[in-house]
Amino acid sequence: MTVQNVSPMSAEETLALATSLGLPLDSERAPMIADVLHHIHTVIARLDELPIDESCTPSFAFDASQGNKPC
Amino acid sequence: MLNPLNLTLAQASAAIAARELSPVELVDAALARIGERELEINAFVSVWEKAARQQALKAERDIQHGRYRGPLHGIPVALKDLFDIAGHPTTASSRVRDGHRAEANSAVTDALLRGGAIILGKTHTHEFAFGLTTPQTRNPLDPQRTPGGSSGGAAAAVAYGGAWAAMGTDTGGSIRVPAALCGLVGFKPTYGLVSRHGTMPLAWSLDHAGPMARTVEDVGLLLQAVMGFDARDPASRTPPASFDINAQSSVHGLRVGIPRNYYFDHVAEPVAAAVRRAAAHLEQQGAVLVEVDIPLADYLIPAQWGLMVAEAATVHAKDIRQSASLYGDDVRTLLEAGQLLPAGVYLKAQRARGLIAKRWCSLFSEIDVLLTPTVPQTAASLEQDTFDWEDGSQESVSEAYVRLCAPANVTGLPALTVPFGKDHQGLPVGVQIMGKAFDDAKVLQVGRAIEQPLSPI
Repeated sequence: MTVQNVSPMSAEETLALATSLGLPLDSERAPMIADVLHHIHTVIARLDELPIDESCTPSFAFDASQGNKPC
Repeated sequence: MLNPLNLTLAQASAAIAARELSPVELVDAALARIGERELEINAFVSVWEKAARQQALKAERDIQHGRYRGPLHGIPVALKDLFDIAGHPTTASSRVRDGHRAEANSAVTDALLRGGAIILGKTHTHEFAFGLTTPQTRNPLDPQRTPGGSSGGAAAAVAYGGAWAAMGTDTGGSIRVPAALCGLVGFKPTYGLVSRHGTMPLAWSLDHAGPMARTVEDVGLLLQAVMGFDARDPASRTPPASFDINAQSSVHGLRVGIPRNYYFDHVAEPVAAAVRRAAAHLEQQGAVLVEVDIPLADYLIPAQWGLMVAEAATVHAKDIRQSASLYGDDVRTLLEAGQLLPAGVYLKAQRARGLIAKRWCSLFSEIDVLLTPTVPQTAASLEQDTFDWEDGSQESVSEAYVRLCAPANVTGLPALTVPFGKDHQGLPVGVQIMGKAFDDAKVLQVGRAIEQPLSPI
């Protein structure tokens, strides 16, 4: 499996995404946040090399008998 | 005359139990030391002098009247300012928390008070525990250097004699890093062994509470007091029936894993040399050294990032939208970026963690414990941003400090740092011992063996 290519978002795209999520991001901070977000995505993208689709459960199971107890 | 500051927690405790030492003398000694060092070091957010003296007098009277509560009775300790104490603010060293007052004690606070410990005050953290340097606090061994973080205030306070022990939290090394940089023992127990109820979270699935002190024995005494199942913490687990933190036995025949990969990459030579000496020291005591390959080493930090950034962003989702300007720049930036991560990234990290945990479980079928450096380099200067490695690469101080500690947070395995020697600048080096889940006692046992004086060769 290859690592997915992570394309950086522009400052404008970052600002638009933040707005859509209700995050009041200062426009002058948008380029820096775009860079940091790209760095985070790049680090985490290494995980695409792992065979998690074959070896890991697709989602966490919710135990209905445990009521609202998490995990 | 006995100088209380020269005693370990266990020694002070034994002297109190034998009525050779009063908790009042201990509190006086700690407060005097705080008076001497605090202005320069800034380890504490708050010190409760009057309350501590009153508690010490009460402890003295109780012990005189036969109401001795155990090894923590009358011992001054400090709490990282993430643990709630009823009626006091839990500041998390952040302006965002201005005006906060805890309504109830954290589980750790209650456990310490039940044991008779005297909580002298609360200590600084890197803001919301989201960092590895605690920039407002200085290292008492060299005030021009970082104490590490995020439990930097707790480590600094214990290192300069302001408390005999402290409780910290650890999401990617936040107990072990400052303990290593300040020459202390620090222990991140198995995930679920110590309740985090009433503790300000950073990232729920990685957060642990644990003790810091001068010796492994001291850390064990604190752990004994604070561990145990707590239904209020959804991660809390009941340890196996055979779990005995005080088990004392030799390391003879114990299989000690020495990593071939990952843990010695980009590590300063004096640090690597200290780990090799610690391994030889264990071998001399009968342990068997086994070279091992660290599984999925390239994916440990990516998994930790995916979990930590997403969970921290969720914890702060409301405050970062309402009060972003009150956060420090570094934490604000990470939290704002974290808001923009898609949910799939978090699920990917969780699934990767499942695979990593499985492979690490197999690793521990070949060995009993793993011996590694705690951090790749000793305490950095206050103004230092990066470490330069021999191959010409650079690494940020924070990324270097988290690199060797985070695997134990991703896997939830117990991990201990013990000081072992010093580098060329006289700064302490920490060696790390990791074990199987709920094999905390064995990890501490190996830590005690490492503390044993070296035999002449």
